[in-house]
Amino acid sequence: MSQESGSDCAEPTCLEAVEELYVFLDGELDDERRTLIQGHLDECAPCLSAYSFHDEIKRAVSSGCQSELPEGLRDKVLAALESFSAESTD
Amino acid sequence: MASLFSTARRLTGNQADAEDLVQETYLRAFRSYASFTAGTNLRAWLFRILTNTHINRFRAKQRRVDETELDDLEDFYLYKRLQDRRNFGQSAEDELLQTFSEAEVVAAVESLPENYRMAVLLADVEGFAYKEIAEILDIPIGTVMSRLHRGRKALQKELYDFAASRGLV
Repeated sequence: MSQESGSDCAEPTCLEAVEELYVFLDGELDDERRTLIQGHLDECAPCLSAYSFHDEIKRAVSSGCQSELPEGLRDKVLAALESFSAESTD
Repeated sequence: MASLFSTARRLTGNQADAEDLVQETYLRAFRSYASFTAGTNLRAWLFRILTNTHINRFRAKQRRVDETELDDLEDFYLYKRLQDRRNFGQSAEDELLQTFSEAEVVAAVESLPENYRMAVLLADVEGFAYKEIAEILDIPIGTVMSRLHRGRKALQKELYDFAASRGLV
């Protein structure tokens, strides 16, 4: 992730690649832009390393923050819905 | 329901409140089902109810974090510091990332101010698109992007502090 405007990197520049890092990782770039950035990453090791670092954090957040559904919660919610539905039809 | 619960758990910070939040979300969804437009995004609609319910119900209890402090943080906070460290001949930044425990990553997420935490959870854990997050939180897409950006900076700062407290950086 060098901040030079990329004398040895094809367009887009490193600066542009870094600016679009999260939009790329979030899958929000259009196909054309995505292909251009991907082309840059294939050629530019510092940018690729910055991208993979942030991708790894994203994955760690995603897997770390999954919680198992507590036992009995589904039944508790269904019971609450049933009693609410019984009340509202009374 | 498991996915709603995961988000509820990280928003409330504890199991009991998360269970209550999920239950209330379903009750509200059931009551207002008439307002749901068939063919639109049911999952996003449920998350919208979840986040609104959380805001109404639990916000009073939340500690207030000074969000402006986070504006001063440098972009890619952790990454930049690890790069500096590598310049001094220490190991690569990826290796350090492997040393964070799941509990540390979760604690870093839970430490984020609520607005940022919601955006990060919806994007990174639930995989919602920016447009969907904008609908769920009822904010413009530009605000979604800036909350994600700030949230991620703050998350990196938190992880850096964990590494520092263990003497790794």
